[in-house]
Amino acid sequence: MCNLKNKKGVEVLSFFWFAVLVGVGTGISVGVLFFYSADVDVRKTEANYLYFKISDCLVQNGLLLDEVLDENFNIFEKCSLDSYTFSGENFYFYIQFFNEPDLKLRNSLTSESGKIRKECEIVLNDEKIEAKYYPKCFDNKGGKINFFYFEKGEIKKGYMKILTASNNNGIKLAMVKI
Amino acid sequence: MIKRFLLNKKAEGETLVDSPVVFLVLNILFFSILLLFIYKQSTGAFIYEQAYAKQISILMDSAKPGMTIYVNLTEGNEIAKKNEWDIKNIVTIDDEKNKVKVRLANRGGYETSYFTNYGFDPPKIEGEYLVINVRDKNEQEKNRDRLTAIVQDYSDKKYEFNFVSREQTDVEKAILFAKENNIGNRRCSCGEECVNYAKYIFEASTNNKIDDALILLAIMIQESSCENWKCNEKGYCGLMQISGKINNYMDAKTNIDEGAKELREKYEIYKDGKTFAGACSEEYKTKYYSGWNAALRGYNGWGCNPNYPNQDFYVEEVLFIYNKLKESVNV
Repeated sequence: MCNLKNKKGVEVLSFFWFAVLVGVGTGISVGVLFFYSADVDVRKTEANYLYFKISDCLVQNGLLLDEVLDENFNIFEKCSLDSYTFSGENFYFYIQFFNEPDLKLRNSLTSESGKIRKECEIVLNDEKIEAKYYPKCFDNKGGKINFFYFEKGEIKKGYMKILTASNNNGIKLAMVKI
Repeated sequence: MIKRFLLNKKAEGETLVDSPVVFLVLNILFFSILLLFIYKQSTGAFIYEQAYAKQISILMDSAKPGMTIYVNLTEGNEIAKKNEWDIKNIVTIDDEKNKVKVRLANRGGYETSYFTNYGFDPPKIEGEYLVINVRDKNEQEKNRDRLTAIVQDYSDKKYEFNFVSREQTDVEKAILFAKENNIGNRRCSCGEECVNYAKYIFEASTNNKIDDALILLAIMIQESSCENWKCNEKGYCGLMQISGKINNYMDAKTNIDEGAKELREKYEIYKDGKTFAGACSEEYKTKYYSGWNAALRGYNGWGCNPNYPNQDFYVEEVLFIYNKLKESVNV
């Protein structure tokens, strides 16, 4: 190691000291670069919003909308969801309707991607799993939403479970001059 | 190399970095570069592009029709100005593909999706804020269908103003009809003031030589649904949506008077006829108006407001209301 000393022999700057400075500087720079290039992750929030948008739309004042259990019910139109967006893998929902008290599955509604549902099951079953490319899922901790509905002139009771997910990562646009 | 440089002897017993000054300069230089790098990173376009895109998409997903979204773009505006990028082009919304794009420079940018199917007007810049109006796409389509029906009805029956001299009681009868019944999707919310409004309309039409007082009432219903507190985004206010430059625009009599004056002025200017070349839709660009129809067109303007393309049908809508009012008084 080479030390740089002044006339009195006091060390002013050593190559070692300079190397340490460069090392620290590089470390800070790399840290800053990583910090600021990290994605802003709002997928959890999006999944939450989707959950409550669906629940608010289907159940109003405690009553399930009449047409929800029809075969031809179009949830995209009724709840103002964009079907094109849900045909990809950015967003997902899965809704199950159950009768009470027999707890039989009455009906279910889902967007297309079954892959996301499997990934959500993995993530929700084990909160420790932090898979970067897996979606962020929300099922309100498995909570159910109770409702009443009319069928053949009778008031019946039921509940629904909703699973929503977002894997909407966004994309950087090409650095092409416009 | 660095080692050799540092050890390069300036004189016997001295090195280049021997003096505290050189040492200090080196350190300052080193930390300046470091701080500059951190600053550049933290104020770079990419971070803001991503943050804005996601913030806007989240706000859009949580919005409901009728709401207006405001996003503070102070930092973004500054970055865009530095990059010589027009701030009007910072945010674009692709309503078809449900994408929000944010660009703070003429290259690159960030794009993200939103899931809601509501309609969003093209973003506008108001000062430091980005403003996006939220509307119901289905409602807009229904509205469009309704207007198309009105225009068809207008074309079939060739409605024209059939002016007759009115009594004040005719106007009262018509305004009470409009208060109790929907005309198209509008109603006159005149509350306790209906009779007063009718009086002001009658007087204003007489003073300004408007041939039929019901035309003023039709405009009032179309413009404000008879709600005197309404102002639009351009600052037009009150019953007749008069320029907010007049001090007491909320005073019903003044507002109706001003509206009548303006209609008369437009009549004088355009009565001989003019083509609606500034219309939004292609089919209306060749439409020719004359007489009181042209005055109505002039009242609403001869240009296109991209946020409200349905204003192309303004004349037909007012005529539709006018004819319903006329039927209500049976004259």
